[in-house]
Order: sequence, then C-alpha cells, then structure tokens
Amino acid sequence: MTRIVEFKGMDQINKQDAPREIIFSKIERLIREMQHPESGVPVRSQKLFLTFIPSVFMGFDLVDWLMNRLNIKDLAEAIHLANLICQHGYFFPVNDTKLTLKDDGTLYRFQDPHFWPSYYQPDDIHYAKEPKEALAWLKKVLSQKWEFICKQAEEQVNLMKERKKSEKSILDSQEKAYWRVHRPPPGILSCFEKGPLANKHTEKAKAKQDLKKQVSFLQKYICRPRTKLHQVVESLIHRCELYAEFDPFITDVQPTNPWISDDITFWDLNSDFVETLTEKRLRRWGISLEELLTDPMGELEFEKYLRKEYSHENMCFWKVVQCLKSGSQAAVANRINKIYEKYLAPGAPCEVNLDSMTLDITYKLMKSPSRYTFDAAQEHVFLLMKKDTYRRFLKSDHYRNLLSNTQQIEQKKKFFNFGVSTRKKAAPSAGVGNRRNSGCHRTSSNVDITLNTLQLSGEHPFTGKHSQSTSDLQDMQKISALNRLSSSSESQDRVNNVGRNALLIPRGAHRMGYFSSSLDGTNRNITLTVPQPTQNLVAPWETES
Amino acid sequence: MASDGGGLKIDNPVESIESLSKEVEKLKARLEEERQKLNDVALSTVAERLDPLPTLNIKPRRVLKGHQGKVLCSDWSLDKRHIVSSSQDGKMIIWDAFTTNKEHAVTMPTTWVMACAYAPSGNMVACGGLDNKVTVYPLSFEEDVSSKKRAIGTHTSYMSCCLFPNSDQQILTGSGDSTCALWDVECAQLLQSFHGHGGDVMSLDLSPSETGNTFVSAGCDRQALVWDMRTGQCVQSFEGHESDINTVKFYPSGDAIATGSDDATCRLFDLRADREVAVYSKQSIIFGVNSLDFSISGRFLFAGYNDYTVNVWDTLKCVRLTILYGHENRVTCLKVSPDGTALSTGSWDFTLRIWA
Repeated sequence: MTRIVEFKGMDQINKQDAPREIIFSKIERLIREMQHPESGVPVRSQKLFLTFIPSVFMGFDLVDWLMNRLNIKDLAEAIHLANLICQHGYFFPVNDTKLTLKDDGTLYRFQDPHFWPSYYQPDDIHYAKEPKEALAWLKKVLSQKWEFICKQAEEQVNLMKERKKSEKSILDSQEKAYWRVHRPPPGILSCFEKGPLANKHTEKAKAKQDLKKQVSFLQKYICRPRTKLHQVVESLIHRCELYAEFDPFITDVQPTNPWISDDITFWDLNSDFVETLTEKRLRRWGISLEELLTDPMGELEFEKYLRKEYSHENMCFWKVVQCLKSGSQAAVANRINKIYEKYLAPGAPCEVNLDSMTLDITYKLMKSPSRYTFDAAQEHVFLLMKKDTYRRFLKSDHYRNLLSNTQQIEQKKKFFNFGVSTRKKAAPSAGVGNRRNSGCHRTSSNVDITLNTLQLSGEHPFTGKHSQSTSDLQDMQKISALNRLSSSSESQDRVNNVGRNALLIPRGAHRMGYFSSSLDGTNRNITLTVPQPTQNLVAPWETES
Repeated sequence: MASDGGGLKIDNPVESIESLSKEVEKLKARLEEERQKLNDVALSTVAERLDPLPTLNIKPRRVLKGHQGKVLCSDWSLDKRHIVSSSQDGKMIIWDAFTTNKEHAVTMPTTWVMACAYAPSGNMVACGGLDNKVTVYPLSFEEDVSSKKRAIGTHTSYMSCCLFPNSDQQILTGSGDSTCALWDVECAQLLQSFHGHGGDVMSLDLSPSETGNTFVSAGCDRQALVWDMRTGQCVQSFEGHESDINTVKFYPSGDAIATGSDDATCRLFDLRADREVAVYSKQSIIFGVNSLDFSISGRFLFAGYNDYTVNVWDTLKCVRLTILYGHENRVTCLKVSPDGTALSTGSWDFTLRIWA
C-alpha cells in the first residue's frame, strides 16, 4: 500500500515563504490532479519483455493532460511547461538521467511527495531576521527530517518483511531522481538557482503614524475626479492606432530593420541631425508639440520658424527652465536669477508674455526659490506655444516646404509602386494554434492592399502599406525580405532575380541611394518581382498632375 | 475616558492601531465602490472591433555573451545600440549590442548588482545593489572607468532599481528599505525622498509626459504608487496583484501603467479612470513576471517570466500573441530599444539576447 502523505501544514508555511514557494504550491496542485486515478494522467505498469515496470506514465499522456487541463493550444508551450515541472523534480524518466520530458512513449514516474522541493531542500540555509523565526524554521526542518527518517526506517522494516520488490524499486528510483535534481552535474544551470533576496520583506508592520497618514490620504483620494472607462479605453486605443505606423513591430522600418539586415541605413537616415528628413519623421511632428520637441531636428526647425515670427523668447524660456529643473542643485540659485533677469523682469531683454495670475504665482514662488520656481510660468508658455504657434507652424510655408521637399525626393522612387488596383487585401495568416510552425514573416498592419508576390517556398503573401503617402520603400523592403528568405546570409546587397516575371528597372533607381548595393556606383540593373497579373499598370508619374 | 478641559490633549484611545487598520479597510472598500461606478465597459470588449495584428516573427538577432554570472539588469543607451548590463558576478558591461563588442567592463566591489542605468548623454552609467549604494561611472576610453566612480547616495537596504529622470544630473532610486529617493549627482545630495510603500520597492518608471514630474514605483507590498517628484507626495495608488510586484512601466502615452508580478499576471491600470483596466494572464502561465515593456505604440506588451520565456501580449485585446523561447533560465530584465526596433532581454543563463 503506497502512502499518500498529506502535508496539511504545507499551505500555512507557503504563505509566509518567499515567492519561490508560490510556484511550488501551484505545481503541486497540478501534480495532485495529475495523480487522480480517474481524471489524471494514466499511470500503469508497463510490460517490458518478461518484467513489469511499475507505476509509470508516458510522456505524451502528460502533455495531452496538460493541454486539456490548462487549455493550451500550442504544443510547444505544453512541452516547455512539462519540462520545467520535470526539472523541479516532480517526475522523472525511468530510463534516463536527463530531466526532460519528451512528447512520445517515453516512460516517467511521479516523485514521492517526500522528495518534493517544497518539502525539504538540501542545504537550504535560511537567513532569518529574528531568532524566533530561525527557531520556527529549524523546528520545521527537523520535523520534516524526522518524518523522512521514519519513512526510511519503515521501508527498511518492510524490506525485512519481504514487501513487494516493485515497491522497493519505485522508492529506489525516486530517491535517485531526487539527487539528480538537487545535485546536478557541474555546468548545468538548475531551476533552483537562488536570487540575492533570500529575505525579501513582504510587508512590514504599520506604525500608527503611517496608518493615520494612510487614512487621511484615502479620505482625500476617494473624492478625486475619475474618468469613465469607455472614454479611457478609446483613448488607449487611439494611442495605439496613431502610433502604429511608427512602431517597428507593426510597420516595418525603411529600408530595413538594422538588427535584422545588419544594415544601419535606417539609423543614418533618422539620426539626430540630417540633411534630408524622412516624410514619416515630419508626419510625426504633426502629432503633438511634445513629439516635435523630442526630435532635435524638430526643435531646430521650430526655432527657425519662431525666429521668423519674433516669438523665439518663448522657446528659449521653456528650454532654460528645463535646464534649471534637471540641472545640478548647486546651480539652481544662480540660474533662477539669470532667468528672472532675462525673461521675467519688467523690461527684460527677452520678456515672455505672462498673464497676471501666473506672474503672481511666480513671484510668490521666487520668495522660496527652488528648481520648480518657474513651473507655472513654463506651463503657461508651453500651452501658449502649443495652442498658437505650433498650430500655425503646421500650417506654415516653412513646414509645408519641408514636407514637399521630402515628397519630391520620395516621389522619384515612386515608379516602384506597381499600381494600386492590382493589390488585394491580405488574408490573415494562420494563428499560433498549429502544431507546426507557420513560418510567417512579419508584415505591416493597416492593411488595405497586398503585394501579391510569387509564392516562394509556400510563404504567406506579404502585405504592403497602401501608398496614400509615398512610403514606397516598403516595397523595397519586402523584396529584400524575400531575398532574406531565399538565402542564408542576411546581407542587404542582393536585390537580384528572385524568380519569374522579373521586371528590369531603369538604372536611375540606384541614384536614390537607398540600396547599399548600388552605392558603389556600379550600373547594376535592379530586378524586382512583379505581382501578377499586371494589367492596369500605370506609372504614378503618368497620373500625377 | 473624557479629555480634561485644560487644553491638554489626551490621545483618544479609540485611535489604536487596530481601529485605524479597520478604518483603512473601510476606506479602501469605499474607494473600490467609487471606482466601480465608472466601470461601464471592458477594454478587451471594445478592442474586439480592431483588426487582428499580423503574425509576429520575432527572432533572436544577437546573443551577448560575456557575463560570468546571472544577468540582473540592463538598460539601453539613447543612441539605440549600446546597452549596459549588470550581473551577479559584480561586473557591469557596456556593449555595442549591434556588433556585440564589449566596450567597457567594470568590476564592482560588490556582487549582485541589481540595478543599472544609462545616463541620457550616454557618457555615464549608474549602478548598485546589495551594497545599498548608487554609484555613477563616467565612461571613458582613455582611462579606467572605475577610477572616476562616485557614490551618489546610500539607502538603508539594497537598491533594486535606478534611472536618470531628465538629465545626467539627477538619479532616481528605489530600495529594499521601502523608499524611493531623488539624488543630485554633482553634490551627491538627497533632493527628495518618497515614503509610503509598505514593503521593498522593486521597480520604478518615469512618466513619458513632457513635464516629467511624476513617476511610478511598485514593490513587495503589492501596490503601485504614483508620485509627484516635486513634493514627494503620493498622488495615486493601485492595488490588485496577489503577490509581489516585480516590475512597473508607463504606457507610452503616460496615461496608464502596467505591472508584472509573482502571481504570474500582468495588469494595466489607467491613471485617469484610477483603476485596473486589463489583466494579462493564462491558466498555463504559472511562473512570475520579472520585467515588462511596451512597444513604441503601446500595442505590444513584452513580459519576461521565470519560466525562461518572453510572452508577447496584445495590450488592447488582452490576448497573448506569441512566446519567445531562447533563454535557458529565468528572464530578469527586458527593455525595448529607444527607437522600438529591438527588444533586449537578460537572463540568469548569463546571456543577453536582442530580438527583432
């Protein structure tokens, strides 16, 4: 008769223990379910030639059970979890020493609860804060040890009474597995590695002072204004939609992601200070004044505009207050004076326009000067720039000229755009549910059209961004992505023939400099695949007025 | 017991710790009621109208090998390609992650360097851990980086996290002594301290809003607290996790925060609605979250777990999109690069990986 030992005290201990113990109790709950005679993993005696291997289950039974019980759709996830549970020592392969679980008929056995990691860990030196805690821990460990010793002794006695050979072999294998888990061979990283925080404080006892503070905080906090969820949710969604085109995980960057292609063109094109701005970058300036000012080029261009408008002092003031706030403590007093003299004193050389209320607040704050003295004034100035100057900037000739310059450059590459009408909507690719990897490539969202490429090695169709704007370099990148597919190395410098229906592009293309391949100046014809069918192929410059 | 009439104030015996605690519980319940009143719709329900995202194809693009101990923390430089990482072996390494070259290797006098951060200028890094200190190292190729180091501040327990809030001149730290602190780098002076947590502070993040005056901290008291840097006051507080919170990050718009905890869930709390708006969990995920970060748009939430994997969540639809396998032990730190082109992860398997 096998003993199923119930550790009633286990739950209590676990709550106080470090978070590692939380994972043990979660796994143990699963293990107990797995060992249920009806709804658990089928455990049997496996016949092997003339003998029986007692009390084993097969790998794929466990994996199937996990997938059912935990609603796992992905096989790899189930296997990974099963492997982790194995590494923690809750079951082990009977015919192997390696602690892995295979999704096949390999035989495994459950570990005796006495050998579970939560029960007792060898040389688990617990750093207790107080002697009381240390004593409690010591008692716990000793009682566990005692139980274990008793069990061992019982087994010895049973041995002498000639208990079934199979039970002895089971216990034997369990003991061996236990040491394999807790004494791994050198070089193997165990899942029982410890972090530095053996005695993380979970919650300190609250003093009366703290509680009083908490009460008054809560009383005020309850009355704070709150927004309804539906508004909040819309705003969260809006943020994602607005920035989707700037998120490299959604919309591929142009020409390529440096980490994938080893080509840093993208970084060069978007470095802090450039000769030519990309259209995307300019568009981003239109999102908000904050976005404009975060971009060093944006700040530069905005300042140029402000100077034309003779309202440059606002920007200067804003910048200088930022310096004050984020600067060193020692410089604060000095800076405050300088700022006052230059921007706020009546008749100052760069006097900023502040309303009387803000001025009053500022003067009051100046009496006890700190790095936050000019916060109110700065906010006012920022709001002014945001509501007035920034709006006009976006409508100004200055900004429009920048945009049109960029568009002219990018239009010269427009002949790569093979006409809108031939593109189809992308089919959503297969989900993660397959047991086989679908091997899908990353595609951009906001899909209206698909670049219906040739089905190279059965890959899913690429999706391209519809060129309302002129982001046609996206197509380039798809082609180079195709090339990445077809060859092992990831160098950027082959935009070659990739199959049938190759269209030869006139040599002018390489002058754009967006292909590192053609920067060496050789007159290379660049070949691109053409989506089929190609009727209604109209070059954009023919339609443009 | 009545108080006497002579101006002497006797402590009201009703205000015992027990009664105060009960008062706190009562107020918390009322707070929940107030928050519930605005609960008219769920994020995942509204997000159903959005098109599904195309399948991600994220692969490890670089593996940074060189640490001889568990990697505990990492940070990107604003130049989008350099990374600083710190580990259990007491080393801090500055990598050019693009070429995988190690540019600097600093040996610290202590082991278990649990936090490290890059200064905005890229010329300095800060780190600390079980030594309770935050130390800055100005980076230089001419001389030994360790020679110019300076200790900026000391806590009364380990330092778990640090960051440069606005410039090279200030550092914000969180500590096992349950406080956060803002330090001036030049004078090595404490500018502001933040008290309110009931347990170790495990993680910090600065609000992305332009004014940059607030930050969030979270820790072992299962709370996330939002602070005003100017006054040192807590302005908002969030609860909901069932175990220690290990990581907290602002949603890119600054309107919400995401937290990851040992209870194997990540949660999104909105600051305007002042409540939890999403939970990212699955029955099959039972291991705790150590670190998380958002992609540029906020649509993807990347989280590193103790089961050696990174799960990628759709922030709005609240579904798990994919699992990234590769590390051979728990993932301790995870950060999206400043331009969003890559994701870096550090692990107890001694390596860092860059994914894209």
